[in-house]
Amino acid sequence: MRRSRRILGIGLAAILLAGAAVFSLGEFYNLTAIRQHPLWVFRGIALGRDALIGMEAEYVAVPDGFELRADPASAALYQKHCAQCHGAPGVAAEEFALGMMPVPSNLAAAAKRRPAQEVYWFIRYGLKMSGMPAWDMRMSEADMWRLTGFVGAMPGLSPAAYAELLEQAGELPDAIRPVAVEAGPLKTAIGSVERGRAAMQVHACRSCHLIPGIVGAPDVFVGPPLDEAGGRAYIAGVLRNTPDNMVRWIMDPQAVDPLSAMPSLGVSEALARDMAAYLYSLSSLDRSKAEPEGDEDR
Amino acid sequence: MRLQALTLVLALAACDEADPEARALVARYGCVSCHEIPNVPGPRGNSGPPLTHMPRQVYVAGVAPNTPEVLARFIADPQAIDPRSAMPDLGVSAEEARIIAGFLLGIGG
Ligand code: HEC
Ligand code: HEC
Ligand code: HEC
Repeated sequence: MRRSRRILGIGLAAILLAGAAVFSLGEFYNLTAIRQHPLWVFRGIALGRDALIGMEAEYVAVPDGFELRADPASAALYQKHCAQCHGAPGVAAEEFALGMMPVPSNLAAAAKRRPAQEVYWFIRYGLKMSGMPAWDMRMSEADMWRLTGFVGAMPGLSPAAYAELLEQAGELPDAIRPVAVEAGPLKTAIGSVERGRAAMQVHACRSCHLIPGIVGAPDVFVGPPLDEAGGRAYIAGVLRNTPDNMVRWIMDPQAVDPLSAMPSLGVSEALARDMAAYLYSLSSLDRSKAEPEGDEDR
Repeated sequence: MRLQALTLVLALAACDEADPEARALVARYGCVSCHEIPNVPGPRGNSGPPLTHMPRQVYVAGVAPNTPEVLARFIADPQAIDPRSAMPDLGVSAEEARIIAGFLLGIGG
């Protein structure tokens, strides 16, 4: 009895000591973006990251007809969404990206060591705490694969050839535009509740609203808390609360109220329906079930 | 510890003392029939948003920066701040609106 307690004590002390050593020798106390990780920490993180991604990316199914291909349309897509951070052949990343930690990798180099499935995995799911964003639900499946093919073809692309592709592409795609996202499972009358929650997470709704089910800072009140948004008589104080109006609001708030501080975030109609479904599911009084009455606009 | 408790009690009492005028106005104009307002009894209506965390809100009615002046102007004449607002003009005077705005900005913190 005494002996086992002593062994337990020694074990706990050893774990604590090891934790403290990794924390201080690994310089995890330094949170600035200018202080690099010690080499062994960097290597350790990269090793763990690549092992996990390698395992997960095995389940990514490559669509039929996929090829590594650089054409004007995919170059324009890349220039619009990726070059700001990763640069392109002969093109530097934007100033802000040069100061990121970790610094966004050169993708021509990454493409030499990563299979297409992993590149796709990065584009779709992003990488937590690195600055690599997820494009899930905000870029069509086809575009994500087009970009995957483009990144794969990048090692064979000279700066002149890249410039030529952009030239041929002409105008870059719009800044923020709704994409046709494939309809999800679990459809209810107005949308899928769980997909709505996930979609709100990847459209930065939580940067302005408190939303049950989405983790974030405890005191953001840029817009009202959305826990009871589905139950209030009016949406944003201007629109009668009906499912269709909720979708309208989420897709383009400033078309409803030009003075509104909520911007359009490029949400597609399908996802706006899912978000509305989630909001109505949160509220104690679900107005999506109420009988429509009077003028729909007010 | 005891000192802290004492100051808290005093602060609450002071708050209550300073507020009766604002509370009377809020009661008179029936704000709680459409809004949830802390410590003001009523039906906790939900036609309008809850006024439970006004000091931390960035905007008034989602359209104008949240300052005491703007908040008072909105209460006195909502459509002057946002023509589309569904909150009716209740005929609150500028002075009354100033008192109510001060009260709302003292709530929650
Ligand atoms: C906001 C900046 C940013 C944008 C925009 C961005 N990325 Fe990234 N990306 C990063 C960062 C940071 C990393 C992580 C680098 C690391 O872990 O060392 C990364 C990692 C990657 C990786 C893995 C690279 C490697 O070295 O293994 C791929 C592939 C990738 N991004 C592709 C893309 C594509 C394609 C786009 C455009 C759709 C894109 N990224 C847009 C910041 C960005
Ligand atoms: C930049 C900040 C910002 C972002 C990001 C944002 N909102 Fe808003 N939202 C606001 C503001 C401000 C209002 C109040 C607007 C008004 O009254 O005109 C608002 C109002 C709303 C309302 C009405 C709430 C009510 O109770 O009346 C809903 C619903 C809503 N937002 C949903 C969303 C969703 C869904 C997203 C993500 C797609 C989102 N918001 C992203 C700022 C934001
Ligand atoms: C008939 C219902 C109704 C009554 C009564 C009413 N309001 Fe409102 N109020 C609303 C609605 C609806 C909104 C949302 C308007 C908007 O966003 O444009 C609102 C918005 C507000 C806001 C802005 C809230 C925010 O989140 O930015 C304040 C402050 C406010 N009301 C205060 C009051 C006060 C004070 C009274 C009493 C003098 C009052 N209201 C009475 C319906 C009402």
